Amino acid sequence: MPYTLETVEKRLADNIPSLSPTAAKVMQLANNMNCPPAELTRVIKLDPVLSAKVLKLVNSSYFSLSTKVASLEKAVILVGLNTIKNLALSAAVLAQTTAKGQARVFSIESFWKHSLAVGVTAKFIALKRDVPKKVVEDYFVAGMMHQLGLLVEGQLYPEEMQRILLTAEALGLLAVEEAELHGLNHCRIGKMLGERWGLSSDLVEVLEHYRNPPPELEHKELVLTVYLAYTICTNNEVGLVVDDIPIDVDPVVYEALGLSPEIEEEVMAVMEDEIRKATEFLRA
Amino acid sequence: MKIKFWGVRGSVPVPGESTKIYGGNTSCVSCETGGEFFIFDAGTGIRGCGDYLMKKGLPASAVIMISHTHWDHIQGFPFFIPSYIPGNKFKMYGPPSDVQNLSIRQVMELQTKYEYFPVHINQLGAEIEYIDCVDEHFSIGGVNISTCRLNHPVTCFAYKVSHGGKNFIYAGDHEPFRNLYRDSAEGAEMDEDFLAELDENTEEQNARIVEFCRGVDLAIWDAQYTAEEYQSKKGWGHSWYEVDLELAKKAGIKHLIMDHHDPLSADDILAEREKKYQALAAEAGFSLDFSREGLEINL
Repeated sequence: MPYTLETVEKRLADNIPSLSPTAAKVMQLANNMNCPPAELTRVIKLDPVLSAKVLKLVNSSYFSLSTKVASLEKAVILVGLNTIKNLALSAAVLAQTTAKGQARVFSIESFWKHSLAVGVTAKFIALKRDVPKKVVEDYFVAGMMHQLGLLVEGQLYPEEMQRILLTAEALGLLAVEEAELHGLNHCRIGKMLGERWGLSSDLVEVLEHYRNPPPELEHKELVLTVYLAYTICTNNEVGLVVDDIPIDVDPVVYEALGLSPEIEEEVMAVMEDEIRKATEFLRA
Repeated sequence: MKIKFWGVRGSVPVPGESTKIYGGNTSCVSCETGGEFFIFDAGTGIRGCGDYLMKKGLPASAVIMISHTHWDHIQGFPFFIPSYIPGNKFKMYGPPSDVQNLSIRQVMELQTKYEYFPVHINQLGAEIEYIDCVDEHFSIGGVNISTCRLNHPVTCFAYKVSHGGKNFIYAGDHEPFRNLYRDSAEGAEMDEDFLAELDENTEEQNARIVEFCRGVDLAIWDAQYTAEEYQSKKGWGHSWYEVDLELAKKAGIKHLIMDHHDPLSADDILAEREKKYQALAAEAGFSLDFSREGLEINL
């Protein structure tokens, strides 16, 4: 199938598997009839695909919500624990059957580690900036989900993506290579997926602009936070790296967030421990 | 509108001495209005409803509205005889599976797989059109239908039927929305502002249900438990008598039918409870009955 905006959109209707690193834990929790809601939301937050699927469901017209939901805790209450459990389970089953396909494009472990690191960093920044407590977790979820477009592109078009990634050896060329080959890039795909799935507008803006935030943004704080988190994790080569490093951060970003560049050192000091905790949770 | 109850039991059929007054068949209600014959849910009660349709004369046609696809709401469909007869025409509306991306037809097919039943739904003689219920409002003939998503461990709808200045609701199974984190060990670690916001979200959803029921002439509603029984059945997706009374009061429901009786509720228990809640409803200014097989209501 040719690789165009329309065909990508069509393929997005297909079942997209969750990430293999979370699949076993999802299955373990979903098979527990008395699974605590917090355990379930914790594992869902650790998987960008599952997070997107749950938010897609809760933001569907069924619930007549006045504002879009970005919180997984809210989603569990509205959609119901059993439905979310089963949604997670079916995506996890799919992940297990397609694990080999996923691995062909890039290492899913490495992709997951990078996503987690960006989630951890975004949350760290949010806490540092003293954002309202109730939205702190939304920063983690946004960071965790920032490269959903790349993941989906890799899953829908493994051969093409493999070729792109091989061609773009200096991975900073990723977007250029994507554009040259297909007139598309994963940020546009992320945006399209986010819009099609009815995700909240702040998440859609993150998916579209996490690499190159323009000066005018509707959700500036969140997008700039994820952007800064992304650059910190990329520059420190935590997990998958798809950009030329080092990425220079415009001082305007620090200024807009009221932070100094020392934040990088601070978050990297806790990074290893945070990744260990998440990994242990998934293996427990 | 002529409404008739064919199956009133929740969870599992309970035939026998202790259920011969209220009935032991699982969910099925019919409504004749605007020249259409509607059947709500296809529990084992649909067998009797099918016999009635056959006696009414062939070819038969009906619109079957499935609230959700748990067994007690679909298990009678393979025994719905009119579906086997060529020339009969049916439309079946129901929720697609938003978890497995399956249409209502695909979900219904699962229960007649070779391993479970000798006749696959594709082999049925009648013409059956399956329609995924995804719109909130639609019309069938001149009858207006609205849907409302309920809180149950699978996608589940209440249907509101409006015709000739009258309306009634047939609700599938429903447990009032609740903040799962409030008063839990997990909630104790959460920020109070966030917990309060979750309370608000929960109430918004309960208010959505009240608005859907606002001023209806008749509502058939899940009333599986007492408040006491509910305490050990949280999360199972069912309501209890007291919360239904509150719903009727808040929404101004004119006539409430408590339905989907628990399999353990024998006739004497139900009779006693019906009397008790009828008195409470009368005090509050509305009518109340418990559903029982054969009950007919003309609106």
